[in-house]
Amino acid sequence: MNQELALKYQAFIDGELSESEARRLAQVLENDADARALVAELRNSKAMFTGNEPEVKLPESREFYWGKIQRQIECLEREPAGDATGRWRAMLAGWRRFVAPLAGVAVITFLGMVAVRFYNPEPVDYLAEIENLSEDSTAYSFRSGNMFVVWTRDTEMTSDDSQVNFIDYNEAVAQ
Amino acid sequence: MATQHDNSSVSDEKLVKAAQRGDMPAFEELVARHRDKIYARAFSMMRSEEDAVDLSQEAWVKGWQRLKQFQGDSSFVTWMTRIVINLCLDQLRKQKRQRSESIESLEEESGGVERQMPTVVINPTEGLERRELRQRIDKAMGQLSYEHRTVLILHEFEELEYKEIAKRMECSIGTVMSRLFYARRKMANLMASYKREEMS
Repeated sequence: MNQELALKYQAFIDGELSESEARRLAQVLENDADARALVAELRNSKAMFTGNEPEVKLPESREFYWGKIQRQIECLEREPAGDATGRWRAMLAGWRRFVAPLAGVAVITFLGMVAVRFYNPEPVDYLAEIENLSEDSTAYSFRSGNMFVVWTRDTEMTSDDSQVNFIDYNEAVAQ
Repeated sequence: MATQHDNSSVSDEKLVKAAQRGDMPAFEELVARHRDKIYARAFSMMRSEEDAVDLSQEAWVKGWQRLKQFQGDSSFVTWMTRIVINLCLDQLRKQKRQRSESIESLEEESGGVERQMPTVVINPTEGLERRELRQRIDKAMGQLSYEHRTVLILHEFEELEYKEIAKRMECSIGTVMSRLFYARRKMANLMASYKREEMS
């Protein structure tokens, strides 16, 4: 008899099988003497426990046993429920569980951003002089995010005559 | 006339209600009434007087702390028994981590050993007086491993279903069934051997 079938017989006597399974197994049992012997043994083993739990007496007197319990209860109740330091510590301990992993994520994100900016071959913000073939004017460009600023100045003009154009970078690229 | 603290004739339900209002003498009476049962459960699982005393006391302290949660869905002693069982299971898990596996328990866990045990065809408990039967059961249970004894206690004495036992013992239902099967077969063979010794 395999282990699986033996465990099914056990479940059968423990009432853990469905009705249909129990009926099927009962039919199998009728034709299997070894299985019937095993089931009889399991039933006897189960039956001997009914009402026969070993009796054990507590080896301490009522007063002594209760005295220890009472002292423990009083000790626990002496710890003031409204202790501010205790509550603060408990709160901190609770928060620490969430704050620590969040802090870790924040640090990793920050380091990631720094690495991206450091290794980014195309910095978002820069100020550069645009190549200019004219000797009569000077132009500078500055880019920040999606904004592209071009500042042109006639070499003979004063700073008051310079012209600033704000260009939306994405629109300019689309054109 | 009953004195203020004469609770010996008061029902468990009334004592529980009084204890829930903070009446310590009422709780003391409950302890006095059911201490043997709670201790016996702890002892049957731990097989150590010292551990059983400590854990049963811890169970009573926890019972006092959680008394307001007791709704009366079960009897008070059943509720207390669950508390002490959970404490014993926690303690057994801690001890298992510290304890090295014996060869016997490894054989039991791996399964298959019970198949080598001969089927016990006679009823080894027949003709025994209750007291003697209980003594033999206690002796035989002492020879099982913690896991097998626990599953036997939870199934036979606490009458829990496989699913509930699996949840308490944090194992699969299949493991519960295997352990119970081994424990029963081992008990049957041990009881039969005691009978043979008696007759020889």
